[in-house]
Amino acid sequence: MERSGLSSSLTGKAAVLTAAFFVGSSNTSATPFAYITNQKANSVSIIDTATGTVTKTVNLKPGTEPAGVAVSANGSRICIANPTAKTVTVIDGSSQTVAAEISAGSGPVGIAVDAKGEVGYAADWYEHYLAVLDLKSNSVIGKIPVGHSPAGVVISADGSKVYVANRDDNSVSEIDAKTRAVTRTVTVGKHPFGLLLDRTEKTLYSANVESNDVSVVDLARMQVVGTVAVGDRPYALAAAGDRLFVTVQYDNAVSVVDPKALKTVGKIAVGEYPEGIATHPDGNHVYVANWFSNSVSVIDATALKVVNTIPTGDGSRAFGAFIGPRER
Amino acid sequence: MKKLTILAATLAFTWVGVAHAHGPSRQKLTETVEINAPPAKVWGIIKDFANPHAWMPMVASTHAEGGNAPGATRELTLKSGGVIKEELKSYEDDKMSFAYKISENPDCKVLPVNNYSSNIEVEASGSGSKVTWNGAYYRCFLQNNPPPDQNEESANKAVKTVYTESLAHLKALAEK
Repeated sequence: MERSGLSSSLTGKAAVLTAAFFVGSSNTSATPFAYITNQKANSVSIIDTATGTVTKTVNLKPGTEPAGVAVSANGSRICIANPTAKTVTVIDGSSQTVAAEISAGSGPVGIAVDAKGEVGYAADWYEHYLAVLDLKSNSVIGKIPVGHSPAGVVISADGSKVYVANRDDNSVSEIDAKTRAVTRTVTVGKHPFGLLLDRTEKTLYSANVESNDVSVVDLARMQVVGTVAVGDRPYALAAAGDRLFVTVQYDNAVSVVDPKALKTVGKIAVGEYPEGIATHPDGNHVYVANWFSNSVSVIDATALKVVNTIPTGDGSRAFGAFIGPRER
Repeated sequence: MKKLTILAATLAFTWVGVAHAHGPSRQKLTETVEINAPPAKVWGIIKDFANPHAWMPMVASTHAEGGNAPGATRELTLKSGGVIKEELKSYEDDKMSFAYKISENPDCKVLPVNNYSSNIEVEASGSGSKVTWNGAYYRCFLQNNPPPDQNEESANKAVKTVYTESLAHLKALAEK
């Protein structure tokens, strides 16, 4: 088994991450933006990570209640999953304005978008499928049946594989993007919600809300090879350096995990009820959306402390890959 | 507002309650009250996790175990009938604050919420005190399209009623 993807040096990791982010997208600016869904405020706060301030707020209709978010790696499209409105809002990465509103099932929560911003996958909480979104025609072009109450969705860098956490089945399914069918499923901890695909794409992690742990899945064998206790009610994960960072809601903290040793090695107090978490392309800052505190905490992944707290909007969830470059 | 949890205790603490599926949109509620009494006096009334019937007017009696240590449990028997089972999550006497959660989702008729968690704190405010009570929870109905008595509005109304009535009673007791 190999988990070397997280063990490279910090500098090496940052360089690789930065390269991966900008290769093939020369028209993107160097400054990444964070797109924070505010469920109670019906808005998306857009943070310029260079200044650490909200530079724009995209207001959605009352009752939209945005939760999930996915920024394409090239920054062209930002998809927002709105479980209450039963829609996906597409934000244009260049103008940072709403480009489309797509009707999507009964309750889209988790969402992922391919690197080019052409195809999206929205997990439907009530109808137990992944909606395939064509982001050119802005319509649902397919439905992939998955497990019960699908939550977090992640996608491989080349877009060929999609993984979804089947929360009420305590499992994670792998989907072939071409055939649009589940190829393999693995049982993980209780009620998996957020997923993280290792940069090498050899390992997948699930944050299991009810068993209070993280499952480590070896994707070659599609088997759980480790379980790490992380605290009370983990929701989502990010990786920076050779550590995992896990939002732990009832602890109002981010747990720091050594995935090799399969141990929680630290805990960082953030705002109340942290949910969404994502790593900045610099590889050394982790952004955390605090649902109850209406803010985003910025963690220095080396110093393991909060270096900035940014006020956002009411009910910040930002569940998904919420940081990406801005396309010009 | 943010509370630093007691890390060692939290790490050692294992959640064993029963919890069920819930809808995707969690609700939150904050109620505060200004009380013309010193914080220590107000905290003195609410600080015992085993003693909610002393200040929550809808509670008839309490069966509790474990004192004020994280992991302590209490069963609130309501005057209207029904029982709510809760568990203490963290306790900070110096900050006059504790956090707890409902450990078994109640009957929707008793309290129409799921996965309820809460914290309450007392702080100095002017010459008196301010009490802040937060709740986070889901509606009671687990599937799509809830009936009116199990939707978000009904959950919010029920929790708000508990908070406002209890805080009003606490204010009256502390200002006596």
